[in-house]
Amino acid sequence: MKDPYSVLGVGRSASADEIKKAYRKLAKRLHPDLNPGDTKVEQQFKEVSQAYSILGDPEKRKRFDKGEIDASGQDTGRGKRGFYRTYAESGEGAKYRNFDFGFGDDAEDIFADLFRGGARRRTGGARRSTVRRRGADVTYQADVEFMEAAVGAKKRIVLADGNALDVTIPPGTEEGQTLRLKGKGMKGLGGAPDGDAFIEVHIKPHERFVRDGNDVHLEIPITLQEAIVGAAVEVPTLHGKVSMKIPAGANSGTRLRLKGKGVKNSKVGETGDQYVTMTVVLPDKIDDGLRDFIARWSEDHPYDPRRKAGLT
Amino acid sequence: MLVTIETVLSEIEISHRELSAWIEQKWVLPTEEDGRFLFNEADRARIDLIIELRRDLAINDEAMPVVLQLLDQVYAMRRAMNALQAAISELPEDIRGQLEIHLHKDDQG
Repeated sequence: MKDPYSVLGVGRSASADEIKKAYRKLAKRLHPDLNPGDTKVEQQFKEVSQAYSILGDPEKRKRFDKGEIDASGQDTGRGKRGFYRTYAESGEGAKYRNFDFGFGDDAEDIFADLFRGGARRRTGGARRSTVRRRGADVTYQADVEFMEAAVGAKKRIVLADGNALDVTIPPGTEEGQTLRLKGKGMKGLGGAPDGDAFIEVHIKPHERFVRDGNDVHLEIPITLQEAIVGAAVEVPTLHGKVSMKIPAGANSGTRLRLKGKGVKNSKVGETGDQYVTMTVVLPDKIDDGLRDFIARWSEDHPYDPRRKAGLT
Repeated sequence: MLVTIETVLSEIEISHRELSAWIEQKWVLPTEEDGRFLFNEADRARIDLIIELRRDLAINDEAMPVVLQLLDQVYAMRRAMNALQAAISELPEDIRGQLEIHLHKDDQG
């Protein structure tokens, strides 16, 4: 790890202001978003911002000077997302191309100009009459129900222009997943292919089921009797009701697995499970019989779950 | 992944009012859904960039639109250039050769 003073090009006695100035000067030159095509600057910029994260903070600088911390290990907060330039040229950043931009409504117009310009130069003025241009891709957002995403569905999505698209939601579709409909974007020009439509899926939460990948979680309330002596109960799953055996002695928090009752994800060829968590619910009204029985019973059956949980 | 304005604000040191002003001036273009703003990774990276332009590069709010506009033009050009490059690489060898000759001629002329 390089010495932060030499990275910023300042002396060890430099004032806070001098350090800030030196950093700004370097950042203006090296910021990766201002140098989109240059892969080398990113490493240099990281070194510079790492150096500044130490020297720009009086407390850290003091500790560094005393040798309490070294020049490495300073998180500059840029790990996860990376720089804007990564997105600016990808689909996600496409919407920013239009920031008060003089090319009309599509960057592909640049090509139209290019070909017209080229043809004019070669043939002395005659404009090429047909422009071949692939249709632009379009992106839509679609809300789908929990069940539609879990078990799959066909859905009709009405677009801003009034046209509708039929979309097949495959079973096991995840939140934020993008579905591609080939050739359903803007029309191509001059025989060029149409663009694609991309549907970004947002899943509405379900009132009972919760999904975790291909597994499904459900909570069910059970009676005191069912908890103590066991029972067979009906529970809902993605694929309809099934009978489930509650073992005698089940407790609040006991979790049972219904194998293969989760999401049948054909894309990865995997079927999830359903997990059912029980909550013991007392009767709405505790009558004298139950109260007297429990009072009598507990006299010679003491137990302390809080001690077991380490709470006493 | 899309996140709400609250999530975005929890990670950065600017106020709700400031970020709203940026959205209003179209420096950032989140998706709007049911009256809520939703930000994708590109939006969040762009917010990081604006913060750094202000804090580290000392670009003030007057100059910011100019800087963003120029940056967006550079990136749009680069997107177009990438597309052009991809299109050219699909062309038959002899046509690519001709293109190369023409481009070299322009370099010298």
